[in-house]
Amino acid sequence: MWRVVTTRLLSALPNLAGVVVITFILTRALPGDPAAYFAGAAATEEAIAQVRSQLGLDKPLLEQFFQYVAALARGDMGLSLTTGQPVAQELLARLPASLEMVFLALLLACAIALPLGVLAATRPGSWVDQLCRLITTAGVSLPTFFTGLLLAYVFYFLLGWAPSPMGRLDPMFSPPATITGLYLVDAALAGDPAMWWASLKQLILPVLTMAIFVLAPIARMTRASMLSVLSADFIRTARASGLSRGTVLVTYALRNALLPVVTTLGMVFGFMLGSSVIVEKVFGWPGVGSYAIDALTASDYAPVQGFVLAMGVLFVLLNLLVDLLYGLIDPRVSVTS
Amino acid sequence: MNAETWKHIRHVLGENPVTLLAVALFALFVLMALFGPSLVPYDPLASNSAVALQPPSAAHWFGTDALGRDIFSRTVVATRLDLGIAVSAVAASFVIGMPLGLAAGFFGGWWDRIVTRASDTIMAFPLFVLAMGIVAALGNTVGNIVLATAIINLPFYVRVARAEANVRRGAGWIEAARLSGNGDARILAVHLFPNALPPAMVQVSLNMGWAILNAAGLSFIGLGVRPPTPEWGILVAEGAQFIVSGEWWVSFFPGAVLMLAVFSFNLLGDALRDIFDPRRRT
Amino acid sequence: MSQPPLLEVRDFGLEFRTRGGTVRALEGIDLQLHKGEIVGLVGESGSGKSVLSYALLGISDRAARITGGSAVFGGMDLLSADEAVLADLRGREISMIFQSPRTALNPIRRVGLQLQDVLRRHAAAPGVDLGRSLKERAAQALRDVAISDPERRLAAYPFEMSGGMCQRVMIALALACRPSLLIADEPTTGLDVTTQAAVMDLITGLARERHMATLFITHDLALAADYCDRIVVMHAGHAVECAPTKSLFAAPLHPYTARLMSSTPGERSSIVSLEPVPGNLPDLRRSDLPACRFAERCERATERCRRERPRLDGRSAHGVACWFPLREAAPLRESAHV
Repeated sequence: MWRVVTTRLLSALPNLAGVVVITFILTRALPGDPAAYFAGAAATEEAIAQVRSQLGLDKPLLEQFFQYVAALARGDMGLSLTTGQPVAQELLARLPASLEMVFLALLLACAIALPLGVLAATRPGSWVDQLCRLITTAGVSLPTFFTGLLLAYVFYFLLGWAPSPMGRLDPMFSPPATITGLYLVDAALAGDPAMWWASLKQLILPVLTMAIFVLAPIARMTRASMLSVLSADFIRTARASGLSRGTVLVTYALRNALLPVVTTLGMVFGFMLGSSVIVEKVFGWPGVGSYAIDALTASDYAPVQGFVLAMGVLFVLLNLLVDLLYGLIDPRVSVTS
Repeated sequence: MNAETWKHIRHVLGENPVTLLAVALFALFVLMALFGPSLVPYDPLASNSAVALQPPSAAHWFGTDALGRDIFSRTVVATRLDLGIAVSAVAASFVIGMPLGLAAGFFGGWWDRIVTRASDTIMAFPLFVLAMGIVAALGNTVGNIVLATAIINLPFYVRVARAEANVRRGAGWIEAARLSGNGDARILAVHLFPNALPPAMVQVSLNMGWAILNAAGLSFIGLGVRPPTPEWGILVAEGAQFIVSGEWWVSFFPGAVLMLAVFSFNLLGDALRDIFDPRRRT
Repeated sequence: MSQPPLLEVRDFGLEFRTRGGTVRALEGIDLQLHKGEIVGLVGESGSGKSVLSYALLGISDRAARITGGSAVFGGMDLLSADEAVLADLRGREISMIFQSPRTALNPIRRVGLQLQDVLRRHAAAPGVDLGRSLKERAAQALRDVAISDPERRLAAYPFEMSGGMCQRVMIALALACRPSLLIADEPTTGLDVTTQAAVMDLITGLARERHMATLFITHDLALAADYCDRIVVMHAGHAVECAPTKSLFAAPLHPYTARLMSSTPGERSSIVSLEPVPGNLPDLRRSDLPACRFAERCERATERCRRERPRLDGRSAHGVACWFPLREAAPLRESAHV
């Protein structure tokens, strides 16, 4: 088992290396003098020169790269011009907010898309099937900023069901004691139901927005996979043994069909991490995405680059996790790897 | 294209009325992009504070925004820019990605490894984030939006082309072509490329939808196109602050039109996939 | 002595509605199976053997339509029974085993659990041993099919086992609830010769021991000859000949049967003397099929063969569906079985 884990880890290393290289190139690709950008618009000539030697921008590119990697290894991603705080620290502090939203969205998307895909597969070609296809295609065509705004309009302005789409918590509450940074978890750990509900209410709209966007790939894969599994030999055996429809569908068909769906999750994470930036902007969510956007508007580049690097690393690690998960649930994997 | 293909196409179109809808919408958007700016009732940039934030009416079909500009005109005019960005980006991806992929799949070896490694590294990022990073790094211009979108779409074409070339690399007729004196470049261009076209076409249609979303998304967060230039993402962003006070039309119409455009490209892509490879219908 | 047959199929017909047309897969099938009998259903691929068995179990493809006839099992009409009743029957009274055993088992579920699923499903059936736990009964089922160290094998996955072992597991699955009828659909195809013999010995041994009726479907006439009491020959959706094995081989009556025999290697034939059956199976989607579907491949065919379908007389000892059989059929007697 450990052999599988280590081989997967090793195969992720080239991707991590690639991520670091690309982000380095991006940091040096700024038009004009990078030092001027990092020093800020109001910097004097001397300040710029100081930044230049500090960042080693006068040295050859390869040496700069090693310096860059060394700094990363120390956890140093530079300073934010606008806040004066280390980028790495702020990213870490804001990461739980983004992750909470992303994971809940994934859960919700699966809760809707999996049954939809199964339903469409058990009635191929029917109107249910066509409807499923239409809904999911529409979902993936909706720009997340549009969905978010629309949902805010309907559920907050028109119906008054959802709270104001501004941030993680109603200003009346103060955040729970930080243990994981995930409000739902922390509120539960602190035994505070009012806080828990307040956090959940703020989460609903952003989570729903993101879930709608990724319904399509999950539902489609589930449908295709179920269709393929339902025509497999072992399903015929199960039916011929008189097993109930429920057992055949769930224990035999669905479990097998879910395997390819799990492999799709990697791609789904990619969509979600990308769209989380926009969703955070729409709902004023204090995550890493809005941090990057604010920095961008202020021409503060270090946070943006730190953000891109962090997202790249996160994505590689998430893909790795999905790979490992697959290895766990498919008993055939350890044999063949 | 022979009679058999036409029959197949008609069959697919007829079987699924939604496909017909997609084709019709696609045609509509192309027309809007080409002729929209000359046909709109108002100047998209002309502001008129007297009629600011008016709901949809006979005079202003989509209502007006905070500066009194006609949203309908702005939305229609934006079609040209959005479609233009998407087409340029996808075309660039195609033109660069296909030859790279074909070469990688055909020659194999080091070439294959480099191209695949580069492609994988691009895919190692959430693509929208990478686009953000590229535009932030290279500068906030429309050209860089196109470049960023082109870069993040490269891997799709590389992959499609490489798969096709790989499959056919050992084929007998390729050997025969080589033996009869055809150079590698000629084989790639004349024999392999046409074979890779059908799946690539599916990819093109899907990527167009994606590219539009990308461009709009980047503009929404302030990258790329700047106000007052009409672009769907910007139009929605301009209306975002009014959603909570009830002036829904400022964001709604541009967003809805944007969604329709992406929707029609996605449906078109599905239809193309059904035409070219019925086995892969999902 | 005569007993009513356990399974009686009369004039059974079935068709498939497909995009390419209606496939008349089965027509006028007469078949009888008595308790304890091993009957071979022999024919080329595409003759409708498997289709018939799926229809009996009620697991036909969605596109299948029954066009007529009856199928009665132990006094119960299989064709008009509703799904709940049929589902109870499957695995308990009528079981089926398939070819390609490794793909016929759930690849990601342990063998023991698959056995327990079936046992649990039919747990309330009378006559099934409730005294022991499901796990013990699963182990016993494996023991019954001569799998050594059954307790350890319960935790195994199908991909960890050989083809022969998978087939034994499938047999165990089918026989776990002691059905009175087993349908074996090409159970030895894909297995090597030694394993084939072992599997066939196992099946027939268990059948004799439990007095279980067995319908053995195969394209291999020689294999059927070795193990079956009686053989029914099928061609293009028709049952064309039906006789006890010895009688069939001593004197085949249908031209197709004779052709099959001369194309099958046996003790008395040499490679040179083998002759393939001429022509191919007719396309069952045609609306202009001759009444006797062998007519176009038969050198004895006349106009009558094309117009009028010859019927198989199920009651005679050696029945044949042919207007011009190779010899006179045996006189009508009370149907006897070995």
